[in-house]
Amino acid sequence: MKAYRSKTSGRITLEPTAEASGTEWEEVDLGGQGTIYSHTTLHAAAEIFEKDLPFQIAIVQLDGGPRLTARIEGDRVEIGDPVHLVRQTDGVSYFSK
Amino acid sequence: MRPVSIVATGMTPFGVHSELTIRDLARQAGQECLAGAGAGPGQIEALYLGNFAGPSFVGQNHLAPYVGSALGLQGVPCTRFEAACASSGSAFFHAYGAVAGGLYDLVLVIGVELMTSQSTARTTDILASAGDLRGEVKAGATFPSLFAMIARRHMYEFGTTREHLAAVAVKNHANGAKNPLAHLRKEITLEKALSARMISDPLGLYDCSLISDGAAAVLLCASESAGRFTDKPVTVRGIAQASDHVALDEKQDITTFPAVKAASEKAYRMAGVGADDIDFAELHDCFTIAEIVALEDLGFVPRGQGGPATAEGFTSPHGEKPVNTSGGLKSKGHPVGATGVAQIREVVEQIRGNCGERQLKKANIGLTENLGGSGATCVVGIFSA
Repeated sequence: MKAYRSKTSGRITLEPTAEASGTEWEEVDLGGQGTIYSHTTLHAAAEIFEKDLPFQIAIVQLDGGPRLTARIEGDRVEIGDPVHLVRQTDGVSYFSK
Repeated sequence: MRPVSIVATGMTPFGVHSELTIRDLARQAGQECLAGAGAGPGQIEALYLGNFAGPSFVGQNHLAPYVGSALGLQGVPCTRFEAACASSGSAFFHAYGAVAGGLYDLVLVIGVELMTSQSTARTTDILASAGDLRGEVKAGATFPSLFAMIARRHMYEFGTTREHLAAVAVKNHANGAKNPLAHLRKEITLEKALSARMISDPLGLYDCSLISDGAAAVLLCASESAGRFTDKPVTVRGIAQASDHVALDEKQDITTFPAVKAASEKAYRMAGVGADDIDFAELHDCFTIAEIVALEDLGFVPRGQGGPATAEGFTSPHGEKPVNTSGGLKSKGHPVGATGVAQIREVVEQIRGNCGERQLKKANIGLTENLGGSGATCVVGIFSA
């Protein structure tokens, strides 16, 4: 799982932004392991996702990195569950237990 | 900076207004406000308009002069403010600064939204655009789901329950039933709230605020001239706006809103009061969990105690700190861009003693908390006679 580390602060992000002028970023591999920080199962969604209902999303705390909002595939997850990256499609990360 | 007062308010009924345009709604609230002060459009020196998504909901851009001309304003600045659900709170904050700084003496602030012309799914789409489109929204997040994740984490860390959340809804519906301008004027039981269909677990239908049309207005005046327009002016004692991350997953801790803390600390300092001095408040209950977290961030209750305090009646009209006598966003309705000014209107009319059946006995110092998105903007105001 690709991410970026600031050469000045060491902060890791999925998307390098100009947090300070002159910040240099290097690509790092996060490995795709993480823990569920919070989650919910949706029973109502925006138009383009109505076909997927019901589906679970979660805020995943990545090991050694930042958090991200991801889709959960397979069994439902709870807070604290370890999860791993299954795939990244169209900029969305899918995790499973 | 000189003192600033509110000399008049206006508000349309909140609800479904399929027969009206967004311009009609804003004009009605504005005209009621001007009439209340006996002021003519020629006296108004600027219009600050709060509106979240008029361009998306009804396709109309350049809204502020469009509304201003309908009110008969000519040749004065008319400007729209957008800060998601805190749009009109932000418009009010900036209008206050202009009057306090001496740029104007008399300024009209209106908040408006017309939402019900769109399907619920399309509305969900438009509301989601106040989140991070490249991250959380792309993954399928909606606003109910973002607040559901806040609720889930709050439950995990503090033992908050679905019954605690439902207690917010039951209270606010009981309050809204007494507000003639509220959208859904009906009381509900705890059982009804708990058994309603799930929207995004743990949030059910009654944990979510309403999709409404409506407008609200207030007239701001330099306090030294307020007596020309009313014998019951209400003074802005403290007002502050603060910002935070738009994306929920960028926050260190999602069970607290740093923007609410920052804005309230500034507003308390400006007003020279503390949380204990506030008699009553209008809080941003876009979802039941948001009222619980706000109680904690404003210092009304200790961290993690918002749920139990609500269930014990702390925030009921007869409790220690009445919250959302208007019915809140939950029952009064949530025409997004109108909400911030509608909250201020309720506090002003409570202080003036004009709230009829829902009038509080002690309403000397009132607070408003208007939250944008999942906490990226917050405006807090403190008011007294």
